[in-house]
Amino acid sequence: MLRSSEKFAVIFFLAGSLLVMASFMGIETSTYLMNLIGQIAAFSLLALSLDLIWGFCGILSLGHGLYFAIGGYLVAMHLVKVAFEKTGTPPDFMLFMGWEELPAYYFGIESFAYLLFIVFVVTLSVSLIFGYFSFRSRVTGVYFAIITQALVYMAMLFMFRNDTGFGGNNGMTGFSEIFGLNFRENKTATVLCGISLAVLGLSLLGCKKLVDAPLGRFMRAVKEDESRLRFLGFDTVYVKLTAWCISAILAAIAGLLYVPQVGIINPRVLSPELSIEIAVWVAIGGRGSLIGAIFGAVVVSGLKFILTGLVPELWPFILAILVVGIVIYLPNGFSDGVKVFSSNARSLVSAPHRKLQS
Amino acid sequence: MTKFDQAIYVSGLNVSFGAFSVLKNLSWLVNFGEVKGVIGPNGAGKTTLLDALTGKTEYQTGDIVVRGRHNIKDANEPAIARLGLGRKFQKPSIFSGLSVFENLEIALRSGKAILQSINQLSPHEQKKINETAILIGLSDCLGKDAGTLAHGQKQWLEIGMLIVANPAVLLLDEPVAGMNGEERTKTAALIDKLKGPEMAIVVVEHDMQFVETVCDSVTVLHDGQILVEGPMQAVKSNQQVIDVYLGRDSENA
Amino acid sequence: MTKIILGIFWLTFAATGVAASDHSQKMSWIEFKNHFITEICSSKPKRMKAVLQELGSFTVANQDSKIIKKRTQWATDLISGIQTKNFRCSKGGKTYLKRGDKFLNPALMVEIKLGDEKYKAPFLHLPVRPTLETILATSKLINSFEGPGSLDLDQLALLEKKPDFINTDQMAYLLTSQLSDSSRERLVFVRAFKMLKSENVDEVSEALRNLSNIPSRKTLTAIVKVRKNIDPVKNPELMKIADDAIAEINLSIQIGKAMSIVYSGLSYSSILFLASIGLAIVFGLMGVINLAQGELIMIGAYVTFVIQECLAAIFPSMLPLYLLISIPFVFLVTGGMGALIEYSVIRHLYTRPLMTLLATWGVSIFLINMIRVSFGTQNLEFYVPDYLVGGLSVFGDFLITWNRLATIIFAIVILIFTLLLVKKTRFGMNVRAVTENRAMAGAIGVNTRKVDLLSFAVGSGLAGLAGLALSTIYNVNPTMGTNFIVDAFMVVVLGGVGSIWGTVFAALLVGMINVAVEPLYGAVAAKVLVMVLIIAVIQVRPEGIFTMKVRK
Ligand SMILES: Nc1ncnc2c1ncn2[C@@H]1O[C@H](COP(=O)(O)OP(=O)(O)OP(=O)(O)O)[C@@H](O)[C@H]1O
Ligand SMILES: [Mg+2]
Repeated sequence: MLRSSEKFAVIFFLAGSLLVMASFMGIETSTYLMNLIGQIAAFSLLALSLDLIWGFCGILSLGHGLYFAIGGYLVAMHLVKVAFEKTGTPPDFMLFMGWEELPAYYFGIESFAYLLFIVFVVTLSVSLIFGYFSFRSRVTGVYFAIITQALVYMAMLFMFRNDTGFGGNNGMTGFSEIFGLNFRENKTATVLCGISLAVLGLSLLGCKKLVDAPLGRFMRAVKEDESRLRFLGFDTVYVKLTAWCISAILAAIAGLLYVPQVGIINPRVLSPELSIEIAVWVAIGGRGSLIGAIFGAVVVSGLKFILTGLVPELWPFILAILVVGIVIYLPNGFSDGVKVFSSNARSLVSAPHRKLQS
Repeated sequence: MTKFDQAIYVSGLNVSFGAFSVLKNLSWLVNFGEVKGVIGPNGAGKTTLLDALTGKTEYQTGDIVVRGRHNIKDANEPAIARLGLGRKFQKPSIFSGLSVFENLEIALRSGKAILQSINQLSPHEQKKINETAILIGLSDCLGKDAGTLAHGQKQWLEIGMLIVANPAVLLLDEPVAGMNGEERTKTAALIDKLKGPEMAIVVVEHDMQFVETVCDSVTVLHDGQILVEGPMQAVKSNQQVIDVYLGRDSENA
Repeated sequence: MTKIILGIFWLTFAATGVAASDHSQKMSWIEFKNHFITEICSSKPKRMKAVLQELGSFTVANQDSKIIKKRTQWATDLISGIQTKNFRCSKGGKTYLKRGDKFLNPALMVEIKLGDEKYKAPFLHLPVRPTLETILATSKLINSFEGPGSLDLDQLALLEKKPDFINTDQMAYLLTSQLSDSSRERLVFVRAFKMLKSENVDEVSEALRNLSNIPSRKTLTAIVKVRKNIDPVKNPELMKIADDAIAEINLSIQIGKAMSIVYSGLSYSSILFLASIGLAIVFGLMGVINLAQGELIMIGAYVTFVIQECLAAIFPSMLPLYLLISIPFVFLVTGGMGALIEYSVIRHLYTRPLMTLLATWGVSIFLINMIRVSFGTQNLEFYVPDYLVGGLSVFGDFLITWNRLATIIFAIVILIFTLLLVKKTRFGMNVRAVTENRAMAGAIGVNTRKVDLLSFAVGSGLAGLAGLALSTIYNVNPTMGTNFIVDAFMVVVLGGVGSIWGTVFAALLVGMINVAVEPLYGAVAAKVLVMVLIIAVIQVRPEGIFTMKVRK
């Protein structure tokens, strides 16, 4: 397993770079496929971010959609601003509000470097403030999970408002180009997909390095027995906070990659359901295994893409049964799934109540 | 004897949960260089005393002064631990998913400033971990997952995690519970080795014989108050102690 | 000083003006009747309106109550005739009033023979109608009045709707009779509204003073309108009275508003309490949160709906009682579902509380979609029984609506039931024992698994009852659960686990904040405020406000 994370990281990175190069050499690809792969790569990154905090630090967030949305909304602002600079007319959702100009907080966001900076700053401040107050007061486990859910729900309500300059209910669309590439071109989808894969590869590698570093050991120690660590003289707040902020930033990057590929962002990315789905990916793929989280995201979101097309009515039922079944019978998700098919299958199935950490 | 010989000084300590008072106006002293035993029947408040000392439980009134100068009234657990108080819990608590080496490494880094704890280990620190492993008899299993150790080894590992951080005071809650005779002897030897003028050790135990072997003096706690204090010989013959322990001695031995 | 003199001058002038217009007083009753008939036959709206008012004054322009009875009787007969087109005029000035198959002389009410002229009913222009109706109603009121308690309330209600058209003389006369306090009060207000429009300063100020006692938006608008027309130089006192009245009414309206916020806050809190008490107890007991709790609320509402439909189909006469009849069904169905969830899902996960969140989420999407497939996504239409429609107007705009009151009472009953269950029964004792120390409780022979199962079932049943309670107040659809679950979480976090009073307190707090802040700053602000409160509270009390200390 140790090796495989790094191997996959390299594969993702190389595949992504190849795609980008291919597109510049003028090779045509299937836009649909590129979009699909690119989106799943963004979801995988999102799953990775949650696994870092849940699988390694034992902190379950049911509100990671919040950081995903921060990245997503900010990049949407960037794209809207770029389109505005081109055409001089604000997007429909602003005309609808009777606005002739973009609001002041769109200042400067047409610059991509500034976008990255602002994504970093906003994500970091939100995660830092929320994390600090929660961890300081030792909110953990189920408590923490439902508070994060309340937070993301609140953000959703806010974004549903039409007067915020973020498109309200209908969301933000009407993007024209990114890095000077027109969204109508085939090349654009390929480039975005390639970048997403490459970023996923880099993040995977980074996470791997992180969890193997001393900080990663502290994270696992927090997950195992936080109070023991405290009685050894270690203030766990800072480890948790560091992991939390890194995770939040990864989630924001995922949102940043996702939105240009789907061409829209609306408040539904902030719905509690999406945030819980992220946790489901990780649970199904296997907490505490970086590759497992990615695997879970690929399988579940892939299934969702296929099945919502084929049997849209049935998909929720399938998802429900999948979640309940896996959570009960494969406590460590896919990682156990592999074991089930290997030699010790019998012992696992017959003893589902063995002591487990969750 | 100066104030700085006092490792732990407790005065007028009251701990209660709601209306239920567990420690009642307790005053107590542990000096450096000393191994102090704390005995008493179940529910006497021994663990609660350690809880109050390490910041796990809030106390209503009274003072706890560590190393002659630090009043820990408002300090949290990590701050108290960094004063040099290392505690072994009644229920062994180690990081079972990490290797023995990683357990010791984390313990070593824990007392340090946050930034120092992210660096690679210095050769000096490596040496310290290896020495500790030898001391607690686990040098052969450094790479093993701590969760796979035997019960006795887990207890030692936990003690090892305390001593790797150079503590001033060791608080051991039932260090030999669940150990066999041989393991008990080893543990006693370990405690003897740790003993020194710079170190105070508190041993909470039900095993009288073990207490008698390792401890210089004994405090008998009963119902949240100190019944008697003194060398084990004297305590053993005290009528009150005999009354309190009547019929329990055999059960707990 | 000059202002006062001017005021007095204006006053006398106005008074003579009123008197001057009242020339009809000098006629005899019979002369007036003929005059009235001529004017009505003119079909000119202005003249008709004027003469109707004159008729009103004439009916009461006498000391003798018998004469007044007679006159009002005549007015009633004639105006009804005009309304029903039984009163007709010919071009040559002849008139009749048809009663049964007889034709009467309208002035004398004696039978006549008709010639061969053409008779036409006078045309009732729209502006005339309110005056006509009002004078008719007042005349009927006076005519039928027999002493305290005999006031015809239907007619009174008619007047209250159109106070501008009443006749002040008739009203003054009515007020001299022996009325019950409540009728008098209502009459005073009707008259005050009219007097407000008067040119007479005394009348206006009296009206203002009377009106300031009835704080409603309608009164406020009327007074504000009048105030605009008051000349501050000529009538400083009047201005001041108007301002005082406005201030007083504004204050009362604010108080009324505050009261209705508190009231709807109470009712929302009641539902929140029902929704979260199960969560809180189960969390205390097993350390798990059921993310499907919102869906159990939803199912509760749907079961209520099914019962309603069944009753409508089988026993329509029982339909008004469907809410009461539903109570046991809802409790059993949702409680049973809860038991099923506990038995098939939660039981396997009790050492992994975080996984329980995901599993119960799976259950929740299953339930949502099950209902979506079988009932559709639209809001359900609930029948609101008569006894829950409307409410009691208390103060200003504050109305105690029956449906919300029912919810509050229902929640209080359930609270008492829960308290009894937890404090007085063996089951409750076991719940408390397991909450405090599971291992110890197990060791002394409590069947902890059974306690888990039962408490989960009871908690779910209570959530179902929340669904029942909100069915006539909020929208019911498959995804409604989500709207309540987050607030329910906040209640649990704030109130602390396993504490009934904590839950009550937190439900009140969260409910009140939501209802009070939402209309002013929006739903988000309300949620943010609750969130900030939660974060602040857990800084000092991480386990919630009321949690008992439990050894971990
Ligand atoms: N957090 C708590 N809440 C309520 N009661 C507590 C708490 N902690 C301790 N107690 C009570 O205080 C008393 C003393 O407990 P303590 O664990 O200190 O005893 P002990 O002397 O360590 O016993 P043992 O020898 O069994 O370990 C017991 O009755 C226990 O139930
Ligand atoms: Mg103890």
